[in-house]
Parts: sequence; structure tokens; C-alpha cells
Amino acid sequence: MNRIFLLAALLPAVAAAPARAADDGLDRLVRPFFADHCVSCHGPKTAKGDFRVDTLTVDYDSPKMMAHWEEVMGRVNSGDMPPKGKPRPKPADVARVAEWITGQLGEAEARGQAAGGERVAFRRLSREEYANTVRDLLGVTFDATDPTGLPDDPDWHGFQRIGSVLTLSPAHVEKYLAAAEAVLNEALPTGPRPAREVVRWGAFDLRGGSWKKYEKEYQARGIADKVRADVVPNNGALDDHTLHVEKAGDYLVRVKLSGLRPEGGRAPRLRLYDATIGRLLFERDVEAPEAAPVTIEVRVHLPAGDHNVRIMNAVPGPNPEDRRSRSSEVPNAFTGLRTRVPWQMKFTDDDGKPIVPFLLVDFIEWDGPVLASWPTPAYKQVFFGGESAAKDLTYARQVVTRFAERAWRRPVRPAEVDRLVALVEKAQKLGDSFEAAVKTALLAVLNSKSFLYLEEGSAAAPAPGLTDWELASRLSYFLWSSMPDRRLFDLAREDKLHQPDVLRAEVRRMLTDPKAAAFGESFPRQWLQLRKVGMFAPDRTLYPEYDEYLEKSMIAETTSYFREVLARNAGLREFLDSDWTMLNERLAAHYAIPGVAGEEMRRVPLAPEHHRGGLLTHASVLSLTSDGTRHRPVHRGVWVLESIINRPPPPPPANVPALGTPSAKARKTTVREKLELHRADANCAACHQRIDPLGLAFDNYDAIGRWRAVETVRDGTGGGPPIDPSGELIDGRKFADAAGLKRLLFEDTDKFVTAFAEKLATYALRRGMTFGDRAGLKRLVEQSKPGGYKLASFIESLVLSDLFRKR
Amino acid sequence: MTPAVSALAALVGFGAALGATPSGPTLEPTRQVTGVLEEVDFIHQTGRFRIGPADDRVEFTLRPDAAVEYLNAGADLRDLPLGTAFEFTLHRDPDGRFTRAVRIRDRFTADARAGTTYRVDEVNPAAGTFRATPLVRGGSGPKERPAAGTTEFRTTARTRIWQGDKTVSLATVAVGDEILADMTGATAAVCADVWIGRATHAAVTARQRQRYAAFVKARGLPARVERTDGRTLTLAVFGGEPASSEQTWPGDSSRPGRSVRVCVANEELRTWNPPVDHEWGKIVEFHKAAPDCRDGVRLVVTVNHMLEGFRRGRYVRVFPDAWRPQDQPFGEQLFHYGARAFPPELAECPAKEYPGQYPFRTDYGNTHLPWYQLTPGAAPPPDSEHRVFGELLAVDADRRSGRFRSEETQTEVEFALIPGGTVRSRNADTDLADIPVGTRCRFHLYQDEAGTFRRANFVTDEVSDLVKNGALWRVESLDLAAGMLTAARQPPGVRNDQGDPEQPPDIGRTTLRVGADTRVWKGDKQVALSALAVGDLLLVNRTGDRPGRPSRCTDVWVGTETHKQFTTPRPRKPTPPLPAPKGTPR
Repeated sequence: MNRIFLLAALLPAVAAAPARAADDGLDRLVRPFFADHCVSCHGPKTAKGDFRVDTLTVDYDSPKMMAHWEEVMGRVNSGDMPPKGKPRPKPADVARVAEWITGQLGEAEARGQAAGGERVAFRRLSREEYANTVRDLLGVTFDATDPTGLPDDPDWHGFQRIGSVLTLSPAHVEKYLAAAEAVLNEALPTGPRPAREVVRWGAFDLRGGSWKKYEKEYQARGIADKVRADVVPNNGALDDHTLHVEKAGDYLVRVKLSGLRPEGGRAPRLRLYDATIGRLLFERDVEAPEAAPVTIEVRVHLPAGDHNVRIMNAVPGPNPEDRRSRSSEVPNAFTGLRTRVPWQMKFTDDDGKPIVPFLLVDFIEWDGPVLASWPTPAYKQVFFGGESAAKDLTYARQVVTRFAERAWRRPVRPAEVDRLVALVEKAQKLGDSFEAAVKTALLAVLNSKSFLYLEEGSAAAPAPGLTDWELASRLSYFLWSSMPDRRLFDLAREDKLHQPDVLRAEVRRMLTDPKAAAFGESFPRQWLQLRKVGMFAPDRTLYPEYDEYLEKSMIAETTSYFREVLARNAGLREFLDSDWTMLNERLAAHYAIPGVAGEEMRRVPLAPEHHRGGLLTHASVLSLTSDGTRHRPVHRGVWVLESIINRPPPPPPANVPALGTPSAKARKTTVREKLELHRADANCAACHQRIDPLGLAFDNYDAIGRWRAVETVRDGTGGGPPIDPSGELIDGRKFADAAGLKRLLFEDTDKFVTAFAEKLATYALRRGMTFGDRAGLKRLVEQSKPGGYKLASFIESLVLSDLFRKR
Repeated sequence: MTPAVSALAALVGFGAALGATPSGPTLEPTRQVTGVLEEVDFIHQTGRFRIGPADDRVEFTLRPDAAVEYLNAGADLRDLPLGTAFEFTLHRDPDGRFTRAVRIRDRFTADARAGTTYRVDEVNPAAGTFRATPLVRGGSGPKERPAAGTTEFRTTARTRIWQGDKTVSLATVAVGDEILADMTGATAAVCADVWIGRATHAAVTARQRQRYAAFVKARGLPARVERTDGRTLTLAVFGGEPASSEQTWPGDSSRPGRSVRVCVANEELRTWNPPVDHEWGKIVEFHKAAPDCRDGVRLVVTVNHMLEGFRRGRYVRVFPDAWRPQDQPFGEQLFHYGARAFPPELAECPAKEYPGQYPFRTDYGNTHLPWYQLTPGAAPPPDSEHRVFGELLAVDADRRSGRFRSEETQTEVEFALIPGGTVRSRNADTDLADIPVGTRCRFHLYQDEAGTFRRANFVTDEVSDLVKNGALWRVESLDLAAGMLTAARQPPGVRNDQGDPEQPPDIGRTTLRVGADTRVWKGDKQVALSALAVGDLLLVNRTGDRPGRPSRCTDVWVGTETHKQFTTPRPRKPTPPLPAPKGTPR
């Protein structure tokens, strides 16, 4: 790994000239403001605090200079400057200056990410990409999010693939080493084929000590096979069970069970959680009568070792945290709904109909490891010569060369191969078998910079454009979040990939490949900052119906909505408004839309009375902009500015007071009314005039995205105050409600598409967009307009653009 | 129905007329008989009384909503004195026998309810008798009952005559006194207790009322779930006077919106762990004197959580807001935190509480199913046996078989131990030959191929069973001349929550009969009957019960030192192995 640090240290310094501001805002807007309000104290005559504003220039490459601008923005924005006693600037002027400075700071940041001056750009794979890459390279599932996986990736405005943000820490080095070793051991096992075994936990096992002691008695009674483990709702769980996994690999999990749903209520939800690795193995709604259980089978990947498995019923319901959910201390295992203990939670009414959602588990089986063949496909691919091959260094060189070319996604230089083969030779001298020695070299391959980083550029031959090998990787990691496949490698090797027709065909092929689901999932998550959903868990008292299933369904609505638009090559306007959305039963119930059954997301037509349509009324978006107790109109407005318009407002000044709590004797007031008081402060008003209308328009949606006509307010007298979602944009256009705002955004589709283009390009190029990219983005928007901004076509255009193909 | 009960079925008691039963939850054909109470089990709410000239025994089980009345007040079985005649109103059990008691009341109660007292006309202390005329109290004062005539009351040395809270001699009884009396038999006019004067009558009633109110308060008001709807329960509360009294529901505590706590209970009205498993509820409706509730309160409550025990037809206990839910005493409570050596006889009986867990008939339920059939090589599961009491008549030690007379049917049964079957005598694993012929035993029987209960897998004498349960009989009163002892059944001592030893309350009471052939043991020496004293702790073996010849003690072991011969662990005799099932290769 030292080599990685060495290379990183040797990266050529950026030698480009200082970048200057590209617009005239400084002279037109800022200097007159400084002259009127600042220069008297911070000018040539008096430089209080040893600071002058008249000499400030814009130099994106100077952190010191940009820090001065950040300081100026903060002071002006917060009202600290001008000081008390001096004439106050107009709020609108403050807002314009702050916004301009914000833009300059953003540009500086984006330029820092761009590769403009670097000879070689290194962009680390995200952990999702790492896992996908080893999957495609070796056919092995690497559970990157497990504690034994890789650290979480930091984000930049939601994007978790920005090169300058994805740094490498010592923790990464250790994790990469361990990961590579685990992956190679599983992909290239040696020795006899591991026996496939079935471990079965019956009901007596699942209940453990409290029931196990009765097993023989039940056998004697002749009803041991009738015993089932009951699981109460509200995350009621059976005792943890330990599964010992001898060999890492894929395992089939079979669960035979019944799930009883109360009339008009939710189905029980089986959740299998591996507490040892902190991973949800799977969860699913289960609906099957007591007398007709079903068997669910799923495939999971498990690392070797002991696994503490928790079996839960993850559906809201009565509190199981006491005696009511425990088993009896007499020989009374569950064999039927008539045999429960009187002090236990009641499952059925007097007519035998379920009144709470509960599970009755017959058994859980763990079957594995499941191997497609022996030796493994990866083994046969790596050791391509088979058993008949001469296990010498010549063969080792061939093996290593083939592997490294795929892993590094480029041709391998002889000197690089020499170093790897030397490792094989040394390992063999130390007593390793041929396969083990080769694995040592492969371990080095997987821990090298060329595997862990996307490399673009050449120190020896700098060039502005990408080579076909680099283009293959950029394209592959854009649409698949993984390494190129054989066809892309072949086209790169043949130097054909850059040809427009070839490239277009490849984009179309790749978008129809199942691996494109990675793009359909990752891009909307990052663009719309969906990782914030549930970050502030909604208060359980205020929102008792909120649970993890709802949260997942919310996110799934948005990601599947994106995939639906992509699959149908629909226009980008669909993101602003639509007469359909993607729902499953859980979310449909949340939206009070009837007629949707089952867990799978599916396209559902919307009517006006549903008050939904487009991304802006997705519960995910409405929830991520709330704080767990109430909706936050300002956060919603900021989110619209960032994600939909891509014009983020200046950050809030320090020490902004919280919204006041009215007297208990005063009438109840809405958040909007409280904000009005806040906006009465001139220093706040300027920014809030721009932000707030965009958020207040969605006041009809509560903190978890449910529609409402009145606001639920705890403090004060009288009933809940009615909601006023009307507003006026900064340009004077008015709207009555969220639907009205969406119509205005619809009128500004070009602006939205421009913003979307920047987001998409940021994702694809793994860096922020700069002024220098604007022209290319503008052309992209113009090209797609005649076709109605169709999403798949838009992606195609981006890939074919110079923007995508240059470094 | 036993022949004895059948014969006496038409016998009219001293109180209400035949068929004047209280309005219960179901109307079934009933029998009303008067019998002398001989034994009660406070925990399982069962007992035995004797009727008729032959002293035929009748076993009974109290229904959960039965009315027990003593001294014109509500009562528990604990309150009823043995040797006193009571009027039993009985329903049929699933086998058609009249064993389900729905009401038990004494003569005092019956007379007091009817407004009857007896005016003493003549006293003969030398003969131990007095004569009295029944009076009926109406609006204008007491009147003689028309054409009732006078009745002669007899007393014995065992008769207690009460004036105020003191016992007095018959000489104290004066002509003109108004008395009430409880009797020792259904037909014989021998008094068990006599209460002199209306003030005494009122005082003993008030005391019994208070005693029963405290009993109920400690356990909660018993109630039957009549209906459930969502989280709302409709409850018929039947706890006697406490169910509707002002003391139970002071102020506005019965108003809608006030809190109650509801605890699940079994049919013996035993609770599991009220401090933990109670459910809070809010009163929705409260109706006094609902016509179809025995004791006059119908309660509608909405609880926080529905429990399995809140089902139509099941029983609960209700704690009004001011009452503290508490555990019943050790032995009565069903839930126990792994108490050391919890007596099996007091533990929750799965076969009784959860009959659905048994795919065969048991002694506790599932009468619609066939009995468990023995399988060669397999030990039968607990509670699969049919338990029969009887006197061992003969033993064939070599064949591990014998003959006994069933107490229930009075028929002789030939039985044989199954392979693996065990015998307990004097708390040791023994052979059948070690049990003296003439000893009353409990036989765990299974059907043979013909469906007759002849195959035994367990035989035990009474002393072994007492030791197994840690129970002792404690002498409460003696009448050696009559050959009778009254004894309380004492459960084993336990340690309380603080770890201090304590003796839980008694769990039953019985009448033990002794005679010249009863051997009494202290240490390893046999002593005279007269060595017995009140307070002695006894282990006993008895003879079987026959018509006209009630069970008598064969051996009585007195004192814990004497009992050590049974409680000290002794080596077990090896149990013959179970035979391999047919076809199993050796």
C-alpha cells in the first residue's frame, strides 16, 4: 500500500494560472455595495481589523482569498456589518451580494474538484462501486456495508462519488486488505468442495430454552410437529439464534410460516436481521392463513463466522416490551390460536379473526454454501489453463496479466507484471503452493491504485481527452457503478469506443442491461439527497405509523419513479409533475390511495384529489426536509433551490433564533405564521423571500408527507389552524398551492433541465460543474429540447458530448 | 350421577324449595341436596360432602361464579366449617354427574334470607335439647309461621352456642330467645352451632361480610367476560356483596372514565401475577343490579391491550381504582418466579388450562376425544393418565399386578403395571408388594385393548404424595371419642421476597377418621391415639372409602422428626427398562 501513498504524493501539482471570475458581478454589483457600506471602515483610509474590501478580487485558486469572501458574506448576511449606527443596506441588495458570493464560492469548490491541471486524475471507487466491481471481476458478493466492509463514503451536496471528497484513510487501507483477502479466498478456494449443509431451526429451537425443554413431552403427546413460534408485532422478536457459517458464500434461507393480517390492517412483516454484521438479511410482508403456511426462500451472502440472527415481526402493533409477549413457564408451546396463555397478547377476536398482525413460524432453514460449480467459475476463469496447465512462472505470468488487465481496466505494462510475478516467485520460495502464490499477486492487484482508483490521464503523455480505456471505465461506472464488461474492453482495445455511433450503441445497450439498475438507484438517491430520509427519525408519539418499511417505501417510490421515467424514455418534465406515481401497498395506504396491494412498487395513476404528482410531492422529499417533529418550510425551500433549481441560497447566518412557541393561552398558529414574524427582521427577509414560498407551497404535507388541510399544533387554544399554501415567487409570479407552484416550475422547464444536466454531469464526471462547463451543459439542454427532454436520450447526449469525453 | 346422589336427588333442604336456584349464566337441570361438609381444597375449589344414612361421599367442584353463602354473607370455602350441613345446588359435569356446585349455603343463611328465626319455647340442659317455634319476620314484627309447629333441637359436646362473640353453655339459652342454628346433618336436628339473639345474628353476619370483603379485596372482584368488542369488555361481576358495595366503589370511582385494572384468571379464579399482568381499563358503563348478573354488577370497560384471557366465557378479576393489584398467596397464585420446589399439586396444570395441547382425553378435559393409548417402548406423557383412587385389595408381586376397589365406582379392578411403571410407597420407589393391602392409593391407569383402565404406570400411597408436595395435615381439632380429627392442609414453607422463611396459608381442610386399629407413630415408636394433640403435623395413610365405612387412617406419623424417615433421600430401586417396540432389532 505504500505504493499507493507514494503515487498519491507524486501527483503533479496543478500548474494552471489563477482562475478569475467569469462574470461582471464584482464590478456591477459588489463594488458599488462595498463603496456605499463598507469602504469607509475597510478601505484605503481606514482598514479596521487590518482588512480592506476594496482590494478583494476573485481568485478561485486562492483559498485565502475565497475565505475572505466567505467572511464578507457571513458578516453582511447576518447583519453584523455594517455595524450599529451606520446606515443599513437594503435587504434586496444584501441578498443579491450574498447570492453572488455564494456562486463564486461554489465555483471555486467545483474547480478544486476538476482535473483541469492534473496530468493524472485519481478518483477512488465508492464502496458501492468496489462491491460491484469485485462482483463482476470475481463473481463474489462483497458486503461492503457490513462492519467488516468498507467505511461509509462522504458526500458533497448529496453526491458520494466526488473524487476530491473520497479520500483514503489508514482505515481504508486496512479494510481494503481484509476485503481483498476475503474476496479472493471466496472466489478462488482451494481444497475439497465444501459440503452443502442444511441447518434447520424448528419452532422448539426458535423459542429456545423456554420451550426446548418441552420437546420430548410434545413428542410423547404426538403434537411436536404442530408446534410453531409466534412472533408479536412492533418488532417483537424471538430470542437471538447463532448460526455458524463455516465457509463464506451464498446461502438459501427458507422460512415456513403463516402471517395473519387483521381486517383493514397491515400484514405482519418478517424481518431477518444479522446482528453480528449489522445487516438486514431480508424482510417481507407475509400473509398466509394459519392452516396454510407458505415457504419463503431467499438467497443471502454470509461471511464465515458466528452470526447472531434475530427474527422479528416489523410491523407496528401493541407494545411487546413486557410479559404479554413472553412464553409461559408451563409446557405450553404454541400449537394453535386456542392454546395461548391468558396473559399473553390476544391475537384473535372471539370469532377467531386476527386483531393484530402476527407471524407463526414453523422453521427456518439455512442451506449452503450454494456453489454454481466446483471449482468456482472465478477459479476457472483465473486459472484458465485448468488442471493440465504447467504450474510454472510462465503460466503465472499469464494468469496475473489477464487478471490485472481486467482489474485495472487497462493494458498492463510488462514492468508491472514483472513485479507481480516476482511476488509469486517469492511466495513459492516461502512454501506457498502455486495457487496460493498466485493469489498473493492477485491480492497486490486488488490493493493497487489502479484497482481502487479510476485513473484518467497519463503523466508521460498528457492529453485533454480520454483514452478509450478511460472512456470505458467512465461510462461503465456512470451507468453500472461497476467495471466495464468484456465488450467495452474489446471496443477499447480496438480503439473504437470513442466513435459516436459505437458509443451511442453502447449507451443504449448498457441502459437495457440489468446492471443499469445501479444508476437508476444511485443517481436519484444522490441527486435528491435521499440519504437524509429518516436521518431525523420522526417522533414515535407524533407519527406512530412511521416505520422502517414506510421509510423504505418512500425512498423506493422516488428511485423506482426515476427508473420508470428512464425505462420509458419519458421527458424530464415528469419529474416536476405527473398524473402517476410508483406505489406499493404500504405507501398507498400512507397516501390514502386505495386499491394497491402487495409489496412491489408499481405504476399507479393519480387523480387530482390525491394531491400527488412529480417528485416534489413524494413523501421521501417531504420527509427529508422535515426534522422529525414538524415540517420545515425553509428546509423544503432550500431543497427546491438546491435540487430542482440548482441555485443554492447562501448559508444561514450564525445564531438564528428558533421559531418562538406561542403562549398556551394564545390561539394556535401555523409554522407559516411564525415564519412571518421571523421574516419581519429585514436581515432575514431578503433570503427568505426567495426561499420560503418554495417551501410553504407544500405546507399541506406534514413531516412524513401526508396530506392535510389543517395543521396539527400542540400549543395554544382552539382547533388546528387552516393551512395557507399560497405564495409569490421572487419574480412576482403568484401561486395558490403546491399544484400552482408546480405549474410555474413547469413553465420554467428549461431552468430545471439545466439544473438537472448539472446534477447528472456531476454524477457522471464525479466532480462539480464549473463556469467552463456551462457552455457544454447549455448545448446539452438545447439539443434535448426538441425531443421533449427525454431522459434516456439526454443521457445518451451527455455521453456523446465533449464534456463527457474530455478529462 | 352417583347412586347416592341419585337416591337423594329429591331430598329437599331446609331452605329454599327445590329448583329455587339463583339465576346463573346457564340454566341446566339442577340437583339440590344437603350434605355434611367433610373436605375442601381452597386452591382448586373442590371438596367433598357426605349424605344419607350411609354417609355416601359426594365430590364437588365449585363453579367459578358459584355463590358460597355462610352466616347470611358471601364466603369462601375457607370460611365453611367442616362437620356442618350445607345445602348444595349442583349442575351436571361433562360426564352427566351432578358435581358442579353453583351454590353452597348454610341453614343460618337460608333462614335469615327467609326472615326466619326460632323462638325458644323450652330448654332441657340435662338432655341437651331445646324446643323452638319458627317465626317469620314481617313488616309488623315477628309472627309464628302458620302450622309449622315446634322443632326439637339437639346439642352435643361439640355444639358451639354463641352469644355475642362468646361461646356459652346450653343453660344460658332462655325461653323466648330467638336463635338461628347450623346443623350437623341433613335430617338429624343436631346443632353444629347455635346463635342466640338477633344482635348476635347481625354481628356474625357483619363479621363474615367484613371477612369476605377483605378476602375479595386481596384478590380482586371475580367476573365473567360476557362480550368483547375491540378493546371493550363487558363483564358480569359476581363477587358477592363486595361487587356492588359502596366500600368497593367509593365516591365516583364507578363513573365512566374512571380506571380499573383487569387481571386474567382461570376457572378456579386463581390469577397469575396481577402486579405485572394487569391491564388498565377505563369504565365505559357501570350497572348495578343487572337482572341477569348473580350479584348485580355489569361493567363495561375499555382496556389498553387485549389479552388472550379476555375472551367470551373466561374469567377475570377486577381491581377498582383504589385497590392494589397483588399476587395471591403462595400456592394460590398460578405464576411463580421459579419458586424452589413448587408443589406439583399447586402448579398450573397444562392439561386443564390448555386442553387444546392434548390430542387425547385427559382427566381435565377433551371429553370428546379418545384416551391416550400406550405405545410399546414409549413412556406416556404427563397428564395422559386416568387417575383413580381406591383401596389396594390384592397384589401379585411376581406379575406386578393386583386388584383394587375404585372409590368412584366401588367396583374391583384388576390391574397390572406396565413395563417401566413405578410404585411409590412411604416416599420410596418400591414394589407393589411393599404397599400393605388395605391402603388407599392413587392409580395412574391406561386403557387395555378392550378399553378398560387396567394398565398402571404409577401407583402411590397417600404419604408419598403428601411428601412429594411438601404438604402436611395440621390438627385443628380432635374428637377422639368420635374418632374424628379436623386437619388443615399445610403447604411447604417458602422464603419470601426478602429471603426470610415463612409459612404460606393453608390450602385445604379435611376430616380424618381414626380408630383402634390406627397406628400412631412418633419417631420409631408406636404411641396411643391419645398422644395426638391440636397443632400436630401429620402424614397419613388411609383405607379406601366405602359406603357406610368411610376412609380411616391406617397409619399416622406425627411431627417432622418422625417424617424424616420419608423426607431423607433414599436410594431408588432400579426401574425395569421399557421393552423395545415390536420389530426393533436387538
